[in-house]
Amino acid sequence: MYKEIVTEIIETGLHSADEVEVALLTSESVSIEMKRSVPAHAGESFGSGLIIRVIDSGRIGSSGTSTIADWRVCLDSALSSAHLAEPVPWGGLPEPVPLKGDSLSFDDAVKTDPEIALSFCNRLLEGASAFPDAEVVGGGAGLSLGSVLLANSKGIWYEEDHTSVSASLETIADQSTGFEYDRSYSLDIDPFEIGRRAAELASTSRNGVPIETGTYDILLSPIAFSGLCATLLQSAVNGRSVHMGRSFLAEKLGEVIGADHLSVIDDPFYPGGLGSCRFDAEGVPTRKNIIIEDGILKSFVYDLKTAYRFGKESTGNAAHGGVAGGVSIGLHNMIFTAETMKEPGEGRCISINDVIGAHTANPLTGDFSVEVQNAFIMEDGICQHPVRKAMIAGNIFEMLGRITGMGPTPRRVGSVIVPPVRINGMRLIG
Amino acid sequence: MASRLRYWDIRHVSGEHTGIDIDNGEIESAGVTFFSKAIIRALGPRGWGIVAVSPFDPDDKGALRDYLLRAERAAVLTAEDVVLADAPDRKLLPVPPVNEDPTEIPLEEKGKLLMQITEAARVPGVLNTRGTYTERFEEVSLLDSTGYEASYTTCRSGFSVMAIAKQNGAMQMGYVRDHRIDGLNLRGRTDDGIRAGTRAVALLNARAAKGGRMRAVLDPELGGVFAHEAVGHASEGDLVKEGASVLKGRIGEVIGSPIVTIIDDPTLHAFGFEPVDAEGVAGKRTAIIEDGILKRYLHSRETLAAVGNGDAGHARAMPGDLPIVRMSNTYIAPGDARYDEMIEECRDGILLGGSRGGQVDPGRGVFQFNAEFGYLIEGGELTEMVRDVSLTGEILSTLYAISLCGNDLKMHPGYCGKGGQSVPVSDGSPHILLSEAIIGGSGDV
Repeated sequence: MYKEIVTEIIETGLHSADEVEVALLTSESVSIEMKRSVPAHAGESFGSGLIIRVIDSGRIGSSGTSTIADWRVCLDSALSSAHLAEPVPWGGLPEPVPLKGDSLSFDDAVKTDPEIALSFCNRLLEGASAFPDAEVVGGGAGLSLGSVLLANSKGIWYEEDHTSVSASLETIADQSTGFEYDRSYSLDIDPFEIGRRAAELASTSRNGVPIETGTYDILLSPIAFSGLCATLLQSAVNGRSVHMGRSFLAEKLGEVIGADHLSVIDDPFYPGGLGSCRFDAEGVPTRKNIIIEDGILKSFVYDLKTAYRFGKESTGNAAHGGVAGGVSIGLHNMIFTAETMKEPGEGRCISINDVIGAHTANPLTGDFSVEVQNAFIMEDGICQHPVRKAMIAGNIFEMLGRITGMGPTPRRVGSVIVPPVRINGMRLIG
Repeated sequence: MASRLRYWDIRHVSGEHTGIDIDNGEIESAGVTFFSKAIIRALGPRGWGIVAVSPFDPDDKGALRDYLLRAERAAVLTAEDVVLADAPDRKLLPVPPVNEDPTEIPLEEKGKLLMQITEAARVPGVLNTRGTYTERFEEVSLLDSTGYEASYTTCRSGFSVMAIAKQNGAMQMGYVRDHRIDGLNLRGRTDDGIRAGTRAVALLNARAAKGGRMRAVLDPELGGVFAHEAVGHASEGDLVKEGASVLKGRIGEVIGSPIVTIIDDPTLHAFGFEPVDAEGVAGKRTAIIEDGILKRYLHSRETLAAVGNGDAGHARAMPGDLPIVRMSNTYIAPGDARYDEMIEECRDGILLGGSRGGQVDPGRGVFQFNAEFGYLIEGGELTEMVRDVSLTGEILSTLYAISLCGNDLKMHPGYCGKGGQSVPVSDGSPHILLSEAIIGGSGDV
């Protein structure tokens, strides 16, 4: 039934606009949430959403609704939205091309079965019991299925399915807290290990020692590194920010902006990547984009509108989530690599598992000062003493230049994929 | 309906979200989205079964029966013994009167007004400006198994304006925002644009702050973030119940200096106002800390029954999401100190102003937040401007450091994130003087 509606929306929209694009999103999920170590909430969700974009004489309008039956209201709203927007030199929506393969972040073994979520919760608790002094505060597990149908008046009709499996656990031992989670498109997450790690963090962070204010070599976990760097770097290479004069990296294309062994790739085909997809929110086929190679800034990322406006080409990085159902620009899977260190914690350093306040970094300049969370004085890769309290301060772009290496094993943190990162000469305030 | 349920409720929110995005003097995008979402909670023999649906059609009684059956089945998997406290006061508080209804103003006119504010930010030295307008019109309906029914509408709207200044390769930004629940706030606001532009230019010449322990004065916006991060979250009944707050078991204890009183008040006509909370309980002014003593926690009906010591009426939710214990309008009560008196009393230290947000780990009892700008205080006078300065502290010791509370309480609107949900709140404070604060910054001198 929905498919007929999509065709009807496109046909009706073409009476009033040059081009029409429709995205139909559906999702369903189950989850179990624990309070302390007891399942307290068992939930299900069902959702759908319709997004309509129209382009008329270079003016782009959009609207969205959760009630697909109300598509006429949504279409009218998209048409009036187009009247207000400033026109751009628009070169047209993409034509259909054959897409290779099947949905990339989809596993048909994932079912929205609450019993699976419950069994994951039990495994989380079993893992946590390895550290009996850590109490479980809460946690849970969930499974979800989603689908995207993208169609436009040029004849595109793309469909893609997504699955997601996640589990997390939060613990406390005295006044020391621990948190661990994982999310995957398949059932390959290890809830036992998540539980064990959450409890280990709380247990081993107790009885922290003070540290002196000064300069230290640090080892940032994938969670801490992506929390500090990923969002900021993403917005700095966003083509719109770049051309509008809102990016620190705007005039640095071709320049050295990081350590000479650092590379950052946006890879929509990365195996197991949560952001993997074959087409973007505008139906442009995705592609691998090299952002930083050997420390040199190689490229920015674009959607169609920004590309047309500034004489570039779309890099397949349009994402849903703009104003009024419009598109924004985002990376798919952000893969960080650098010189591999067999032991990134070699010598003496401060190992930092997470930070408090990563989002308070200056979004333009990259200056930050945040509190460390589950930090340890580390010697040759072994955590010796927990650090009671410290702030880490610096600049994210400068920090990219101080990366001395990364551990051998990358980890996914959302759609960021990065190993532990060794950075020398950072300022800690004790 | 479903008989083995001890209780069920439905919160249905439908409405429209309007957005305008102006980038460098051009309307980048402007439009409206529509939604209708519901959350159905059902209390089985032990815990909650929950169904979230979007779209939700309130007239489809068959679907509702199906959702309740699903929720009942789901609840069987739970094992927590949930008890709900009585919260008899469920009468809707009147929604603040609206001066100019934003939903009645054409999008085009709102776009023009936002353009004026954004263009005003283009002071000499500013190379990029951006303005955003958001408007959330929501129609909320509540229904539960006791026969309670209530509905109300709210319209929250506001803008933010950002300016980026550039000089010799250096860039800085200035940012001003204001959101309201009592009507359109776009008229006569070009001064806010100028303020954002001027701040961006001034920050070009500001030095990075040097971190360390020092005396600090916080402005009302940052003082409000301090109340929110350092006290508000740790007083949330769910965190207390689960053992994730350092304030657990400390009711009646002195936890700060006797001049400190911190209040959360959902009845206040500020951005965090709610006529009733997400469980249909009327909110009340909850004094969390009075004269330095921890008095009350913020509660839902469930956490009130489990923990006690406080008030229900603090459960809040995004449309289609589960009610959780949240703050509404949180503030440090004013004292009698004058601003200049506080700067003088500080002698040598730092004044911090504006907020880039903050975060807390309530279990560990450590919080962090970042200011938009600061000034060094030397010999009792403001001197040089500094940038990128943050503050951290431990909940259980920091409140003792508040040595003066000003007489100039002011609330600031914002959004607070918890459990994946973002809800409108306001935070406020007078200027406050901290006798010792841990200041973070990347500067060397």
